[in-house]
Amino acid sequence: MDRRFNREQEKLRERTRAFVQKEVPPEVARRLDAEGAYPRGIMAKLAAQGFWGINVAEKYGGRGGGIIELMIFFEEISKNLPVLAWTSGNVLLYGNNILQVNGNEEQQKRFLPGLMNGEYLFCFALTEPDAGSDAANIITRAEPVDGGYRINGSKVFISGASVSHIAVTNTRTASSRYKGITSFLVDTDQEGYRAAPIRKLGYKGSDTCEVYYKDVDVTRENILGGEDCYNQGWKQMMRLLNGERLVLSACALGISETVLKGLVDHLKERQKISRIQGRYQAVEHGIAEMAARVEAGRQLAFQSAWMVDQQMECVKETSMTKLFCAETGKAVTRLGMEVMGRLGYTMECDLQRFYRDIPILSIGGGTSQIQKNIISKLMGL
Amino acid sequence: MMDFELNSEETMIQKAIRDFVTKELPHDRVRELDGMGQFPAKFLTALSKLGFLGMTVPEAFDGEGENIVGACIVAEELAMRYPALAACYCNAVFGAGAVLAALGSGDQKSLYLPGIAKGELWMALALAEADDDPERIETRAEAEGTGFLISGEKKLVALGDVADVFLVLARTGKEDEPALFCVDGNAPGITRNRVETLGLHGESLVNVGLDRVRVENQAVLGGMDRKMTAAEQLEMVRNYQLLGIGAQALGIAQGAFGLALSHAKTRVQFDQTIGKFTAIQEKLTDLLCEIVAAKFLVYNAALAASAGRKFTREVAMAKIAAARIAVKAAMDGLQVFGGYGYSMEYDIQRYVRDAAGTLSAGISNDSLGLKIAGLMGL
Repeated sequence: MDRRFNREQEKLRERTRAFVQKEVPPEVARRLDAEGAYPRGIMAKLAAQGFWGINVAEKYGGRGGGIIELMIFFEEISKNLPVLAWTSGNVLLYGNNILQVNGNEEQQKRFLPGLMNGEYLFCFALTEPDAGSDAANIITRAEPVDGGYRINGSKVFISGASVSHIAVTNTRTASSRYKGITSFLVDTDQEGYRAAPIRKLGYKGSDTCEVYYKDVDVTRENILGGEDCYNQGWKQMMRLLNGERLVLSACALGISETVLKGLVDHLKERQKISRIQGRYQAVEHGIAEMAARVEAGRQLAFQSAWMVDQQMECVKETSMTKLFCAETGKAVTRLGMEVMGRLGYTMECDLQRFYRDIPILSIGGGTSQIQKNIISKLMGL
Repeated sequence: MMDFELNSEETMIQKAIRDFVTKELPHDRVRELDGMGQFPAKFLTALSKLGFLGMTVPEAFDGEGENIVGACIVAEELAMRYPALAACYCNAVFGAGAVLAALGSGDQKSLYLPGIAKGELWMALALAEADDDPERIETRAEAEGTGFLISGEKKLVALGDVADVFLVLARTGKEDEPALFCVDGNAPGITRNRVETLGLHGESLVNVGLDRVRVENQAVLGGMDRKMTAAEQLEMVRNYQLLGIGAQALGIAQGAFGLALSHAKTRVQFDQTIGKFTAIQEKLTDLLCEIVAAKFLVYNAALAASAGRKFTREVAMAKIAAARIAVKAAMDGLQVFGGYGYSMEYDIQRYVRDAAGTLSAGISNDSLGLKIAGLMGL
């Protein structure tokens, strides 16, 4: 198997890295995190520089990239200001990807051009107060009415919900746990849709919201994938999971790499001043071990991505990747806190932001516990 | 949650501080206080009225008489609910009270200890600079006439914003071990700059600048005829500081654990409370084991200190273990809460932020590791 990145992919990495260096230097990242507002300015620049086309099919004017391109982008965009990955998800994942995997041609034609030029943002509304890890437990319902359906209920932890134009909303349309879920493209301008941002520990600016639906009417055409996909929502979601896990893993890798780099720079400074030969060997070994884990995570991640690309069965591998990369990210930032001491604890140091950001990666997109459930089940346990 | 065999006095202290926490510090109140981030003066005054700030101050100086274990109990209980208040409390009873009672000259004791016991005078430890290695202390105390002129910059001084007195570590000569000086916080030449931190809001961290700050000879900790060397004094100061941090970290771990445990008992997913899942049970069991282990280490150090034994090794182990379990309990606790744990409306996120403060407070764990290794003859 050949898992080298091709020239286009290398160029995408260079381009994203250059974007981050130019547009999101640490001082900008620090300011945006402190402000906590949705980073519209940076999003506009990403749109203008063509990043929103990386995973859109060529027939719609995109660059036709797949999971590997997405991972490269998400890894690099997470490096200085991780929340940009979340907000990019409002175009690349919940817009481009969902429409191309699960939408019908009419929906693709209608939205993809606007997504690519930065006109549209999409959010994905699944989680509910009582349906977190137990996602199939959703109770937000869509009831048939004349000409379509009427949605009532609420969602929670929906990123980008107050800024998005379309909320891909998963609803209960029949009692069957898995075959009773329908996904709708809901226009957020509609009366009865309300989104209220939640204040959170990290990933500030992601516009993660509680969402309320009160008599929100949608037509049959608004069913994701068209009328044939009524009650097919769960199956549609399953098709997104491998990609979601790998993209989140890429975010964790990006954060881990930045933290490791910061740690190396920090320790070099301390080494310079220390008069004791070998004073920091134990700390160096701690960093070396983390570096090994991050590299292992990266190999696992791109190996799994290659399997996705080859359309091989790889649910176990993507679950392992998500578990391993998220937990490694936590371990790396924790080591960072330990090594950098009080310095890492001040708000002027970027480490504290990564320490706040990282815990959600072992929760969102399936907790580490859910990933372990999947892995052990697939091992026949 | 888990009690040692406390004697009757300690049991009374524990009950009193628990009552105080229940009455004065309900969860929503603490959330609000954390948001405001101010020095919790009101609560410290209340604690002093109950005699808790005098627990390291001899009765002759208006204190309650030395009760190191009792002070650890108070710090631990406060930290379970409101870690920043515990941090301030530890700075006062360990960093100031215990240090001066053990090392101060007669004059220093009568000048400062009564105020410390009453919660009317704050002394802050101004030790660290670029980092915590003693070899990197660059602040200088130049002998001049009947005293010294101190110049340098001290980093991340807890209680620095409100301090009436700083205990400053400075070199008197190029090769000398740095010595400790009691420096009036209002002396000309002192500047303070607030530092914003991830957690422990209200601990009032500042960087302190000293520009030719004049002190008299009697400002040397213990006086010019002090009984210990400066290095021995510094070790003692560090040890008391670490004991406080250890007790505080232990409380944070238990606070986070308590939140996770009650969430596991009430949150329903897949038609059962998540605490019924053995994976969650194992997570909580692991935490409990490590918390109790850390508790033994912390109180082992406290008992050694009470007995007047050298407790350098004991307290180093206690601090490393307690700070690590604090971070782990908070992080794992957040994991048990899932997405809700990430919301600022829930308290577990505060423990994640505050725990990091104990991980990095005082001396870094790698420096403590070296210290323990040295004591093992390595």
